[in-house]
Amino acid sequence: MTEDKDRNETPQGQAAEERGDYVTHAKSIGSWLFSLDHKRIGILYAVTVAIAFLLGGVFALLVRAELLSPGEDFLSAQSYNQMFSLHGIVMVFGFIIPAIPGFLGNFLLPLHLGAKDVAFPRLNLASYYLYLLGVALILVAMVAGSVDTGWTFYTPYSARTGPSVLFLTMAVFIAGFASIFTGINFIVTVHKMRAPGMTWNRLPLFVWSIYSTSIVQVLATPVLGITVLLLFLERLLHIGIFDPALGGDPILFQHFFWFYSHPAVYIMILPGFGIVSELIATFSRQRIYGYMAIALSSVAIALLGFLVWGHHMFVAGQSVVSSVIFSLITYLIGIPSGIKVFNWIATMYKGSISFKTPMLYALSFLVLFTIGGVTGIMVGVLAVDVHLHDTYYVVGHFHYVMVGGTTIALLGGLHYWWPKITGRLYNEAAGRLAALLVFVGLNLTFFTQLVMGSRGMPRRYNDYLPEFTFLHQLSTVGSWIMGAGLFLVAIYLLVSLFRGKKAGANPWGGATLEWTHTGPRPDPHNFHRTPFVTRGPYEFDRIPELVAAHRDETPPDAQQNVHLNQDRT
Amino acid sequence: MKGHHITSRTTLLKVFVALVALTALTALTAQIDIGVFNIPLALAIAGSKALLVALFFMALKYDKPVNALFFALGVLFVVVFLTFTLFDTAFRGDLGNVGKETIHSMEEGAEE
Repeated sequence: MTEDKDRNETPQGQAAEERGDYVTHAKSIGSWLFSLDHKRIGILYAVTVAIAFLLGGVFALLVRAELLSPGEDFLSAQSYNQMFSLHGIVMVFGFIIPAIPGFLGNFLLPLHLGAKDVAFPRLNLASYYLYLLGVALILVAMVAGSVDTGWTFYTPYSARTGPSVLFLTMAVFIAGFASIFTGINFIVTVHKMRAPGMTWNRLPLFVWSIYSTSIVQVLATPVLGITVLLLFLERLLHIGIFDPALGGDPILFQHFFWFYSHPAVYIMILPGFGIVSELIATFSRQRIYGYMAIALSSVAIALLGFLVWGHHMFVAGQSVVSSVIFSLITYLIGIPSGIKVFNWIATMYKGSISFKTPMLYALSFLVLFTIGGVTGIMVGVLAVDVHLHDTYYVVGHFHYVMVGGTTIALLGGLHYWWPKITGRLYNEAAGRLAALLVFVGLNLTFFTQLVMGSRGMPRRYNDYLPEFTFLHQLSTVGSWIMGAGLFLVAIYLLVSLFRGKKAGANPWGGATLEWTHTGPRPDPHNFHRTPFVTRGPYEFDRIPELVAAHRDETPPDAQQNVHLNQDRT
Repeated sequence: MKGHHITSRTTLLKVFVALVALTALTALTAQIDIGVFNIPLALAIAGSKALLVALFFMALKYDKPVNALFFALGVLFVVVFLTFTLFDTAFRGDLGNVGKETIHSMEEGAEE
């Protein structure tokens, strides 16, 4: 660290300023595609996950359109199966797992820690390309073959269906490695790259959540690789592992798969918790209530998340002994989740709340995640699950968590950090309207599914009984409203990118280092000098003093860029 | 970065000999049937070999203890996975109708 400090003395700081910020300092396509800068790699992830999200979203709209009326409309049963499989696989492996760690995690982690970059910049770029290769192979498998197993690849479906399932699982295997590399990189970065004075209890909560996520990525993802490999061995070499005809056990596949995939659900949601903590603190202008409780509850969720995988298998033929154990531990997950929600609400209590777009997403998250969590506890109840298993209730539950939780948090984070990433502001009125559309559309889509499921509508059917028509139609209309909201987000963000008002260095009055110690867009090396941290991440009362101190550190010709936007409420 | 520990050649050789000896022991014990202890014995020998490799060849013994902690954490998760899966497979069919024999009898029924 001291070396870095020496190298960044003022004359070189000035030179850095002349080079421009992280966007303008180099402009060739190669400087983006092969950049080792964590911020640029974050942008690469952002573009790729956005494309995956668009594809997955189009598949979802097609699935919902088919369900607009009973009977076979424009998708045959076979193509309907492929469509929902593609929706699940692209959304889970292409979008929701890499979205927050890959995009916001990459962009923000070193900035939050006061570091120049992640610990292993080359590994970081390598993991992006592995992820890209994984997504590309998924798309090739989609075009070349037909996979109709759903995103879980359960045996015996995956043992009997066409050979392209092997290709697709290989793609997932590769994308898994990207996830492991990112996890290792972030763990080492948090341990070794913190600025002087950045103690563990001064880390922004976003860092805690990314850290917990990384632990899960490193410990769980290898099991996905092993599972896929075993599937390969069985199909190609006929070694009996999952196929009863060869002496295998099909439920064993579900053990293997969910030992990864249940913790993976926490890979998807934990970073969302981190974003929401940042949003609620900044837009309530309050220190986080129960900082350590929120930080450690992330770690608790990460670890407990490893012990609940059997709740996916209550009716699959698993022994009753293990169902009882898994059900009990599933209830325990409610405790750290509840700690978080209550602490967020307590943070807002008597705060000076401003309802800017990011805060609207944070508030939506509180409502939607709570519904997602409580419905999760309900399907964790053994007797209730017998009725609800494989119905639309489960579909509604996990979409409340994945869309209502992770995607809403990502949208909130995207709006919050948009000025820091692009240096521009977006249209606030359009932002609020889109947040409303997404909230209404989402509830209309998925709450009706909870109702349908509890009345017995099974999942994964392209047809249904006439009495479900009205609810299915409501759900489809909901998906259109949500789609319109997301489309609006895409439009005004693109407009902002080219025509948006220039943002100040700290438009929201945030107190973490990226707001107080960098310009409107960060420098290629993040900070002119390694920050010396003497405070926690949510001391909003000290921002003017901190920004003034930072201004003194900054070369004089950069001073005009560093100012607090006064109009921040 | 502080100095990297270099293990002496004799230590490495001793570990190598131990590994070969343990491999021979595995082959020998495989010839003898000791009933329920067949698998635990094979696993115990394999486990000690893995430990030798981790301690000496991968130099875990000379590293900071925190690395050993991470290694132990990895092992712990394998244990968790196996134990919880055994809660299922060892008690499979405790509901009475989902045992292995049911599949057999179903197959036989189908053949008839």
